[in-house]
Amino acid sequence: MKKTLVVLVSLLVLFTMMLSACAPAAAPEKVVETVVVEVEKEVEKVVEKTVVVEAEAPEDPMAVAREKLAGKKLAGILSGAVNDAGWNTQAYMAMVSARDTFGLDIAYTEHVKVEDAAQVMRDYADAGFDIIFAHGYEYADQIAQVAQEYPNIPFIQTNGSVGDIKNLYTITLSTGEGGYFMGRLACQATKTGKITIIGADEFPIWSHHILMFKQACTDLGSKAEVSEVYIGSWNDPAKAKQLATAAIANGSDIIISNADSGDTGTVEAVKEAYDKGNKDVRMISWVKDKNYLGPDFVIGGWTEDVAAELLYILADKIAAGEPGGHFAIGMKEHAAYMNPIYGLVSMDIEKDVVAKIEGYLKDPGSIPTLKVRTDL
Amino acid sequence: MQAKHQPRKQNLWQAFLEKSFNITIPVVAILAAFAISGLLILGWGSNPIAAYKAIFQGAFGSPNAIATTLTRMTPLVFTGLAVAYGYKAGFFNVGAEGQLYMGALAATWVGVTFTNWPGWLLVIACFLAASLAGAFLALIPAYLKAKRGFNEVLTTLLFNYIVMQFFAWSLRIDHPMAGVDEKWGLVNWFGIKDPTQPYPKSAFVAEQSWLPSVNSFLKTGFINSIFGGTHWYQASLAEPALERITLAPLLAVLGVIIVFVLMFKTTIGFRARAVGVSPDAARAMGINVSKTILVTALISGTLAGLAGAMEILGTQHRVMERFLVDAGFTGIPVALIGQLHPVGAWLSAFFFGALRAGANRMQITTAVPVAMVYVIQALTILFAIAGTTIELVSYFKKSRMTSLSERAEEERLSLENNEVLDA
Repeated sequence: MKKTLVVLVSLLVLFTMMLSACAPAAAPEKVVETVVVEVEKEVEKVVEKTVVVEAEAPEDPMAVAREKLAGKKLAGILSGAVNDAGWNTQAYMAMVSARDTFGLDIAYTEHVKVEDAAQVMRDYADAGFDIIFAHGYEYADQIAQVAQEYPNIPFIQTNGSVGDIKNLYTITLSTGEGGYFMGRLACQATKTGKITIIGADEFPIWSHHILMFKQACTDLGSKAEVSEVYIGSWNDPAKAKQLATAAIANGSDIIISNADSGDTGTVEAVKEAYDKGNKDVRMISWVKDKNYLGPDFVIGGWTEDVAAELLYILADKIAAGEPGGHFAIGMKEHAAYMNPIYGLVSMDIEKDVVAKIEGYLKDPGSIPTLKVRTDL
Repeated sequence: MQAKHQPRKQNLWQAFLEKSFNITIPVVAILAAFAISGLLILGWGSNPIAAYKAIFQGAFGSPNAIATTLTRMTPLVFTGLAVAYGYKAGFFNVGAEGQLYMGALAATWVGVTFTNWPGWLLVIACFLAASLAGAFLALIPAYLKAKRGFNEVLTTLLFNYIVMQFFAWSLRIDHPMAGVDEKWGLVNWFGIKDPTQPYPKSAFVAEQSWLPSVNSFLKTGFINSIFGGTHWYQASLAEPALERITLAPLLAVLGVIIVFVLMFKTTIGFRARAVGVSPDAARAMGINVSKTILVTALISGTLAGLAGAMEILGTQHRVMERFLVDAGFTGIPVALIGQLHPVGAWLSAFFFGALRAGANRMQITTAVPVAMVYVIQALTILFAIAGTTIELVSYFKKSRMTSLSERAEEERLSLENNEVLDA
């Protein structure tokens, strides 16, 4: 009996390990295709931006950056799979953008655990990589340690905050803008007066966005009830679906989802409700435009463009020979922006939000209640 | 004379086979796993020899690589020992992951709270706190098993989830810090978050509690006075990898020795093994089975809790979410491949640590994905489990019994013949 038990449990462990080993390899083709399409879009955006810069600048900083960076090798450290349709896909697209813009060679390692990150960085450094990019706050200690071991290699970290190592460039997006403008959109669009925000995890950037989301509702004089729930994972579509289904059953007609691959579960729940006749239910996507997952009910939402962050550091800091530090960019630098609404809310609401954004970009002081943080 | 010696030779050979079987199974399992993975790598379009060479270089090819192998294997040694010891008494501890996290949390709590304590006292206090936290967590399922007959596989497994939720919550509650936030509200007693920064992670434990490294040993006055002028000494001081090789791997070896002695040379270990073989027989021998299960769980939980403390005091120096993923669960295959023996667990952890350390080098050099390492691990477990189903020992016992009964029959017939002749 005991032997059977041991064999069963061992096989369970084995099966789990095999699953985890196979997970990245079992990537659905569709997602890869989407990534490619998105990458092409991103590249187009970058090219467009490049053209603007070329027209306005007396010198061509991008050409200078290209000249300095061409042929260099960029390594990426990612916490999940590049096809998670969220955080890590953004990082992958950013690296592809950097490759196409500056002529870099790129390589990356997925599913890097915190305890392995330092050695992965060292491996890349020892293998002759010229720039190392770690995507996520969780690598802060490791990248700071390894950056000091390899002082001649520039290190980049998104959502980092260390600013006193000369070869470490930490960058974050200005936080709060997305929350505020999506709050303004959602609190006007809701018909039931109930909104649910589904997050993968509770972390400071997200908490501040939610704070600003609620602030926008307050500024509107809206009495909409805003609830926030957490999945506890960035890779759990099943749980995301459960939470979204429960929220819709509870009367929410606007669901905001920021859960990477978990977002597909939210889309499924909203689709089921929509197909059953709840034609007013809407989902607002986050990090990138996910309207393609549900054109009838997914509002483009808010983009947080990792490519813009990476290109900014590569061109404006590393290629320019600037020392490391902590940097923050946002809407002004087109690193964060609202995606198309696809006619899924009334034109009046869309016009109101667009006008508010335009006013804010011209004069950030036009919305005194919007507190933007760059220290998170 | 010859007839007397022949069975003795056979017994020696059988004894050798029986003894070496515990070593042969994992070795063959590892070789078979590498062979089959090699075919997969070939199918991938890469050279398996080059891939394995890269793993080896990534694990042992430089001081950095060796340091990583040692740091990765250390928590696995402790969780492997925790699972192996528990199983010996029939307590299948699947909760090492949660116990490790609680151990790390407790060690960090002590390390960030009593920052004025001297180093030696703080280190002991951190280890003690981690041991108690791990032991306490294992004690509850053990009590439920011993007194109420609950299946410990389920209870220890479910406790992991409870611990993970508590851990995540604790990381979001500010821990009081001198000069920043000194308010000790009720909830703050359970919090571990560093109040000075926004992300859910603790402050660093006091520096005097960090386990000493090879580098710090080299810097001591005594060593400096002897080797201070030599070239290799100066070169060693400049090597960052030696800063990362700490006392922790040595403590892991000490842990193996202690568990070996406990398991095979003490009454506690004997009782545990007796209960593991057959609780009813052990009860008939006068062993208190319930008490033995509780003691075993305490030891097993202590070892898992210490795994967390080793990682905090030796490597990471603070806790954060997912700071050490699956080290507790990996303790199960570590123990199984190690044939539930302390030394085997150490060797198995060494194998797992080396694979983890070398995986990325393999990907960079040969483009074989890191996931291949998990395939190798999984295949090794599969073959090791398959090996345990071979009943070599009972086969020999059966054949020995058969030959003994045959000989007895021959002797009986010969005696009968002699009696007939005498008559």
